[in-house]
Amino acid sequence: MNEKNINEKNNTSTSLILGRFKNETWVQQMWADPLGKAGIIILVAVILISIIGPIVFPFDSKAGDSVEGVFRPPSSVHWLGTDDMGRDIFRATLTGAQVSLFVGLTASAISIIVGAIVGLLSGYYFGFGSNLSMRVTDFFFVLPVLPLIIVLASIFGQNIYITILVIGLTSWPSTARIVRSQVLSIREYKFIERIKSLGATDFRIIFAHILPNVMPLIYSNTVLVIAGAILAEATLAFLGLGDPVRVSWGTMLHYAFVSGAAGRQAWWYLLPPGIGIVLVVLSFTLTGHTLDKILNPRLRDY
Amino acid sequence: MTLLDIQKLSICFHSRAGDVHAVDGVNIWLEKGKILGIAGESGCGKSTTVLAISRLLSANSRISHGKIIFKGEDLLQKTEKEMEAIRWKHISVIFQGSMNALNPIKTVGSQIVEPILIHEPRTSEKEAISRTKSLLESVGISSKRFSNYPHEFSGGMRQRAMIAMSLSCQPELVIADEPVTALDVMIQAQILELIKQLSEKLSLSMIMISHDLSVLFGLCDQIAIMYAGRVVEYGSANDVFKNPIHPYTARLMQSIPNIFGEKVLIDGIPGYPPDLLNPPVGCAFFDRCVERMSCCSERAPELLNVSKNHFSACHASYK
Amino acid sequence: MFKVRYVIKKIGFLFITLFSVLTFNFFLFRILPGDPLRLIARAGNLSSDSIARLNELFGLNQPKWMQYLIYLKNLATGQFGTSITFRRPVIEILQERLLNTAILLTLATIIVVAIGVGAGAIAATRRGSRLDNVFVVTSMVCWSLPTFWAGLILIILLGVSLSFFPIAGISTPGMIYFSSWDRIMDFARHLVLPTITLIIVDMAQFFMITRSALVDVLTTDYIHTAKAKGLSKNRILWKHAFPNALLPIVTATAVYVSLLIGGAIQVETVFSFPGMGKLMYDAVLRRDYPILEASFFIFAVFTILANFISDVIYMIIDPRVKNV
Repeated sequence: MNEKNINEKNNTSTSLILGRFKNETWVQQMWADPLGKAGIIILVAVILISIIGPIVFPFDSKAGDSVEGVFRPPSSVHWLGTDDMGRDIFRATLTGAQVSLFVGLTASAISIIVGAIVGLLSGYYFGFGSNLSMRVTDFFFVLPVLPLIIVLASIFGQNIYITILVIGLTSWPSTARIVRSQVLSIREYKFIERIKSLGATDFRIIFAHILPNVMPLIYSNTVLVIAGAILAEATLAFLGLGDPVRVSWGTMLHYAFVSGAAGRQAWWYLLPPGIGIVLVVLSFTLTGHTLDKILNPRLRDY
Repeated sequence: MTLLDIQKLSICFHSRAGDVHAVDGVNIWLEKGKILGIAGESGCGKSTTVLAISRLLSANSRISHGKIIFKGEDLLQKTEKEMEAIRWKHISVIFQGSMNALNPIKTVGSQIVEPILIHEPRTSEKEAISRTKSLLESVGISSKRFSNYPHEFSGGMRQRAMIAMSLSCQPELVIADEPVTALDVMIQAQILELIKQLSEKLSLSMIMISHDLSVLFGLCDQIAIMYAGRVVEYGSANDVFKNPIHPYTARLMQSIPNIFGEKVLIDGIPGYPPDLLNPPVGCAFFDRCVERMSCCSERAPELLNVSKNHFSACHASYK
Repeated sequence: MFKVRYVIKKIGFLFITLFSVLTFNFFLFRILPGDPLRLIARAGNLSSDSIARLNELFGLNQPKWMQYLIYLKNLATGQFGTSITFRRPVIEILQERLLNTAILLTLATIIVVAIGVGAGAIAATRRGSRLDNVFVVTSMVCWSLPTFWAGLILIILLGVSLSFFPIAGISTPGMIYFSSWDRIMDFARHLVLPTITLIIVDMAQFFMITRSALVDVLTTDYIHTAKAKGLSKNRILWKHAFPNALLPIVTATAVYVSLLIGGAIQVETVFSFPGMGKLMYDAVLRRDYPILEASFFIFAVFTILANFISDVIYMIIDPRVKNV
């Protein structure tokens, strides 16, 4: 009944680990760091482009020119040239942004939610269930990632939702591990004992009290997970396991590769989707790096 | 003979919020063979002042002013290489006994042998090892534990090992930075007793820092009290204990409970130390002082000799 | 020595994990939709004799648990099945390809470790300086590169425009070798671009791990003590900081191996390098499940072994690991 008051008074939630710098939120701190600022700018730019771009410049995957229009370098008509089927690369890149981001973000969401839940539960409870889930987590952790997703995708099919599931369900172990070890130590804090004696249910303890203290770690892990998911989708698509209908950046590079774009030195075909991937992943890496510095003061440079 | 003379030392720390003036015009001196205690609350600048002697401050610090004269030479003029030769051989440090003060993946013995071999290169390894073993014995650790790792020692033992390590090169000056703060009371007493014995036996010159006055009074010859980066009182332990001049010291004495006397309500000092980002122009203790006068907020008092070798930085004490 | 018990326990876990992978593999590849026979022998019609023999070999008429035991027996005798595309025993194909990949990965790893650790040490000791920032940003950009894309760009830049290095295969077609040395040199020239691609992308991971491990260690109390002891900067870095930083570095190596294998698959595909990675790519294209199954297994075994070795090394370095 008075649990909520105690929580507020004792300062035991997010500020335990976040350690706010006087009155700045962490978003402000990130903005103050040049790398963090760059990361945020790039990320926002890419997201905006991926939403607005395909509306302003729609891409028709079936429209192609005749044979002469194939592999044309950039011109005033086709700003980034044409691909192996005569389609406009500029428009394809914009649409590809949407698909790549969609897969990356959705797969990460699955991965983080599953990972966090497994980590919370297996860290909080003792006993068989907790041990079992830890063993399962460790097992998946030890399997090589790309071979695993290749195998799963080739067995279960080439469909965007399968890709999302496959990526999501193979990257949760890293989140689960981190969350679990943090929960193990928070579990020992005295305030948990106090709240328990006030009659809080396990559910409430885990989600209303322990989770806020784990959030900072989940944030910095999230960023890495998203970066990895986008790279994973691109790689899967490149290897020919992506959804043939929804063209992502990886798919574009797949077609570029199999149609010999490298040999023809068609740099306009290879650069845009690749740079797109690099920019998105880089934006997450930059923000992640800065977030680490904010959360762990020892890593700060003066 | 004055072994160490710190003159008007000022140190700043750079932070995103601005420059923190941690140490402001500090004057401290130490005679050979004596033990000086520096007391003050957290954040008053005592560790910063003392670590500056060995130039062990962090990268964002800046010594803006002052001299540190050790055996006649100003250490602040020395290059880093020269300081490396001086550290441990002439000035050693006993750190707070945190879990991590000793390298966890090296044996305790090897960590004590290392500085001997570095600073006295003509010593053979065998000699260094036997010297280390007898050092360990002298602090009450069996020499058989030479090859143990730090995690195999208890907190008290680790601190003894640190003490042994600090004496390994027979330095002229030993600095003890809160040596017993991390230990429980029983072990505190043991360690303090050990330090007392060793300092008498070896005629050590020592500077000991603590926020706990009771720790210092039993051990030190001279005491300096620091507040907000400045020295406010300096004198023999007896004088400071029995006749504190500065109002801050007086209040500190009052707040120590007396186990013999009548039960009295403990009187703290209301208020907080000043913000060192913008240190006050006048006396730092002005806001909390009961004896303040109008001139106190305009001019910072200097540390002046009030009575025989008893110094105070307070306008009111000159009367 | 107490630690012997720890090692034995770890070996036990090793076998359990290997076993789990086997079982996982078994079930994964047998939930394929469609008639398994058709998948194994896609060429068309089979004589009833062949069908009978295949049935016997793989026990397809038997209950699942029986199939599992036959599977285990086959594995133990090195029978990984027959490739659909190559029409040869999978194990033969594996043997040919394994060496190429091993050479590529070993070479890349040596250079990656050297550069990553060296640069990581420099960056950590000069934390916050311009050099450190340059290193960090460069490595973040490199980490964000998809490995296959980096390969493609290198092909355009160095392979085609400048024709310095060959961009495909491991031997120049039609070349006559006058000596073993010629052969080795040709092989080496073909190794250059794939290896450089791997190095560019994977070095970033190693660099970041080393740098953050060192930065963590350099801010501890015992390094402060070491400085107070008057030890030189070099001595502190290599004799005190580094051995402690090795602990998280060794732990992270296990993840690095997974990254390396992924990189190998991409690089071999892009450069048509005939190793395990290209094998897997081709097998995916043609849905050659026996090869997929076997190559997945080999990769998994390597990753598990790498994890095991890093656990053991960690135990050797860290005296705090007790006989749990």
